[in-house]
Amino acid sequence: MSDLPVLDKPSALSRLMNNEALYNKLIHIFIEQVSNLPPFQADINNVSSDLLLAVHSLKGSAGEIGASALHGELTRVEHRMKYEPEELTDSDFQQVNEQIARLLDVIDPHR
Amino acid sequence: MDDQASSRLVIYTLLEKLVKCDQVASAQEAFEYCAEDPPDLILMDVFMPDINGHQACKTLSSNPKTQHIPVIFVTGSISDAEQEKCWNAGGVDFVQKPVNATTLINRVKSHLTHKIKTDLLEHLIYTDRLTGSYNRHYLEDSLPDITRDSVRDNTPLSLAVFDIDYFKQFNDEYGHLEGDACLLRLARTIKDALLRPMDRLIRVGGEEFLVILPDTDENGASTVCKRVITAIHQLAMPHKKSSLGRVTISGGAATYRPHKPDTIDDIMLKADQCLYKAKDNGRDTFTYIDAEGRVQDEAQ
Repeated sequence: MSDLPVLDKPSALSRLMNNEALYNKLIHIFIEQVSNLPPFQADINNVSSDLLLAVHSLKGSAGEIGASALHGELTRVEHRMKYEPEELTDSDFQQVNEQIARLLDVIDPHR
Repeated sequence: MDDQASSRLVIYTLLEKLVKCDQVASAQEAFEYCAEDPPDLILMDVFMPDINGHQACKTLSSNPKTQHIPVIFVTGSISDAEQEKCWNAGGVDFVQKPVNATTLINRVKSHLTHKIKTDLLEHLIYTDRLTGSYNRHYLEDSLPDITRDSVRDNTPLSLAVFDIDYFKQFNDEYGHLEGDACLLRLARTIKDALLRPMDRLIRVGGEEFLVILPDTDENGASTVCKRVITAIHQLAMPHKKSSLGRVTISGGAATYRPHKPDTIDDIMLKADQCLYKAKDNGRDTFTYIDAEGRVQDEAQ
């Protein structure tokens, strides 16, 4: 499991010039984005462009809200999908799903 | 330009107070936006469905109308390979995601300042200081592109040459300051007589002007010549040394047609020959080459 924080809000806010309203909108977009995604599953024999795009997009959103652990996990998985697809395992996506659940516990605890 | 709503929201929110900012979600939308109203700067995502940022940047760079728009890539990866791709695609800079507001704002400010200075320099290089019309440098640089557009769109391109009648005598009689004022007034009048933004007025010599009329056939060129000459005539600027008693102008026009043997240089020469014929015909008139290739004097 990653040593990175689940959510580093101060860093994210600092990058956004402490624009709290913008940050809250990004959180809202992230929650909506995740709720529209099925749980990630590896199709080891076929890395589809749709799956790659979904991973890439979620990585971007995670980075913007300061979801450091998830961002790190998605960066690693995206790299593997692009350059080492034969190394992909179910466990890669399992860790992504776990990080998403951890993050939602923090940003959307009443879901 | 970013397919991701959250990225667009971040960049738009951070920049909207600094500059007029619009957002599009795909390369295709960006092409359409730029064709309509080219922006001064594009912030472009790299990883997008359909057409990625590198391809989009190359497409913009290969189009004469959009090749001067600087592109800053906004990318999640700044690996050596990724940086290489951004530069090779024609980008002027890149900003890493997640975006740092201060870095983004300063990069945008820096590139916009550079663009404004470049545009100003281009304006000075291509503009005749006295009349505000384009100059010969502009003609040399832009006519090949305008001709290519005509070939690509398969549309006629007309050139109309105008020369002020007895202008040397005007200068001798009234002095060079009055001569300059006369040139400025005439240039403004010709410009006002051109009704479309795509028509260009160029001062090609002391008292000689060229009008480039894209997508204009022989009849259209004749109509513009008539309008210009009438407008100048109606100014009724006194000219003691002209047999006409006022400042007048003569014109000649010819039309380039793609896939016909005459080159654009041939057409320029023909327009010039028509101008001389208009002078021979008594001035304050024009001559043009009609659609059948016949030399036609202005219908009286």
